Amino acid sequence: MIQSIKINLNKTTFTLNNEAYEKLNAYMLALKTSFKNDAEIVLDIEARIAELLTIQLTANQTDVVIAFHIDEVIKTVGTIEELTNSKNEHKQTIENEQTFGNNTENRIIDKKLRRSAFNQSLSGVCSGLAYYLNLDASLVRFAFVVSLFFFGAGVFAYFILWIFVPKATGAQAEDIKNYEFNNPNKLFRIKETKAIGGVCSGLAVHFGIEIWVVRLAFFIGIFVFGFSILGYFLAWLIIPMAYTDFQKTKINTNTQYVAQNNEQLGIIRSIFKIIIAGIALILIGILIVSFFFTAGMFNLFTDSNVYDFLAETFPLDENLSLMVTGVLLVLFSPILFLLVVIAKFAFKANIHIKYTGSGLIFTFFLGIGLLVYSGLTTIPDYYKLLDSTDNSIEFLPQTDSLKIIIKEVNTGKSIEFFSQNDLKIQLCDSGMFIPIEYQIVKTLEDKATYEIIRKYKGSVVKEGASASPMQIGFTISNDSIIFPSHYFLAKPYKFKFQKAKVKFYLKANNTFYANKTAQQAFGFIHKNENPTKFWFSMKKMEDFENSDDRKQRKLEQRIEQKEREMEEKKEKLERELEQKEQEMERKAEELERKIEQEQKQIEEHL
Amino acid sequence: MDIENSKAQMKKGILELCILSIISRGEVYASDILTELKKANLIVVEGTLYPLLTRLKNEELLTYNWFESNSGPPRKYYQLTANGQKFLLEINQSWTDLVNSVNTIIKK
Repeated sequence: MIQSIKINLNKTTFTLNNEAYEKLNAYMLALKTSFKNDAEIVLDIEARIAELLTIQLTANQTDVVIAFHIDEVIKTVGTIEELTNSKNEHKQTIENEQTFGNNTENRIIDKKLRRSAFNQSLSGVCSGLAYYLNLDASLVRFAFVVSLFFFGAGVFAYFILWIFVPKATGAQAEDIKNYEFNNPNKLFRIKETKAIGGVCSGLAVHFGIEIWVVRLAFFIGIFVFGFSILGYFLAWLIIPMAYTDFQKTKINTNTQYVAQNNEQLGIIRSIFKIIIAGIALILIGILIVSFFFTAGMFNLFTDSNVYDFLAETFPLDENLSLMVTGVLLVLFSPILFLLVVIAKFAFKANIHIKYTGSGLIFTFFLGIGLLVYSGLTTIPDYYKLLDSTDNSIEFLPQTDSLKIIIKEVNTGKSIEFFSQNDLKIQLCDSGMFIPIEYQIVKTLEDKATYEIIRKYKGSVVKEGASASPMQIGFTISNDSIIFPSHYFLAKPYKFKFQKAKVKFYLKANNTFYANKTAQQAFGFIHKNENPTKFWFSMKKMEDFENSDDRKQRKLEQRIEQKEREMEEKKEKLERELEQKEQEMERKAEELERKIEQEQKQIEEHL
Repeated sequence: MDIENSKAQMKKGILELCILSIISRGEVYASDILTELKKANLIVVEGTLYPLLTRLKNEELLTYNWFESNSGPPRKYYQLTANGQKFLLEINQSWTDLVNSVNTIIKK
């Protein structure tokens, strides 16, 4: 029986038969002794031998290395004599060494704390520290990130180390490099046994713990303020995934994990997928809501909209389409990106995250760029706007109880109540309704007056002047003054931030009547309150309603009723008239027909 | 006189120049260097390359980086240092000079 021996050659496992093992062992020992002071050469040759053996095994379609393979390898690499001759070194002393492979320990290098020049995420502090402390770089990084949550302690330490620890050079740099790459117990995430991201599998292999223990620990950690979720996510970001066969060597020796945990994997995966699907649904919801929010913001679904309003305010129309596009891109790109990530990692959708991701990042920054550009080009225009006011004072009719009536304007969409706190610009196809602000000022003068103040802004004085066509239509009679709640600006005229304010200067202690809208406009009542007091004086707000008013109201109501009755009667009469006319027509037709028949009969007789 | 021996002696001197030239074309893996040298019949046994590489590295004419490989352990990829590039230029010049000089004599 030929015994077979498993050996590890440059981190690759080979199965050798006894004879091959003897030959290879002798060769390696001889190599080591002849290159005693240069372990690196031995390592390089070892790597080459492993490579040659792999080639031979695949060529011969076998798994076991036999003596013939070793002979071939030695022929290619060269016998010890050939090698030492070429090196002109003839001193050979043979020492007995039991193992070969993993020759890293043979190199005598003073371990010093240096920043790594290799495998660095930021400045190489973590890699260097990991090498110095004989830890895994991923773990050190994890520790630093976690320390961020403790008042950022790690940041301070990190910067201190960054500043004071010199960068590794020469042999030190090389040694750190080799430590990183050839550490057989390097921490990886493991694809083969992963339930979510392979973090637990990796940790289990790295620390030699059973995988379910690690998973249970993470699960329990969820209930400690969800720390383990964050921890898992960090680890997932920090720890690299094992891809190459070499990186998996450690894992392959632990293949029993795969078989053991298949059941467990299914459950964990489905739970994780449900959670992620929930998050995805929420994200889609946010996406839809934000779309409608943006659409609503710019009233994209209606023909008269804020977009028009902005377009009439600012001179640069094309800037506005840029602005809207920018808002849409900035809103949707990150959400779409998250959805893509979820689709990719949780549901294994066939998406190239690199390309879609960078595409979405591009659109996001494009959106920001558009916003910045349109903002930068619009804002200076805004500041150029010129303020101009325009006011006139008129006297009000002198009566004991002046009525101030503000008529709500039907803006074509809905009749908007408004108050001082609730002024709304309403747009319609032919232009816009701009609210008028109303105010009451108490004076001690005998005569009541009102003042209309018009304000407008234009980029130049001339343009501001073009805003003047806005006129507030109001009527004054002996005892009442009627104002509209809004004024109307027809479409060809630019908005120019026009504002109108009507100030009533009313004599204190006199009594004035105001309708509901007026009271809202003056801020005496709020939008949804039902006014109980229709009278107020500047002195006190009381119920001044007296019997005369009641009578007047009843009269008004009666008049209305009578008018309605009259109208109804009128309609009835009209209807009756129509019916009679129709009857008359019918009779006339019948008569005509009879005449025709008679005529025919007469003709026949003739 | 042993013809093989003098052949070997000649090759060895040129080998350095050849290795540096190969590496100067870009980052290269030791096995690729071997393939090229073997094709040109400049090397018989592969093992002789490694001491040379190590020596050149120690002289800071070249350096290496580890790269992950899909089909095995990480690989060392060699590249020239600034020193190495300068050295290669010089050695190249002296080689051309030498060939010219030798030619003037042996082709008479």
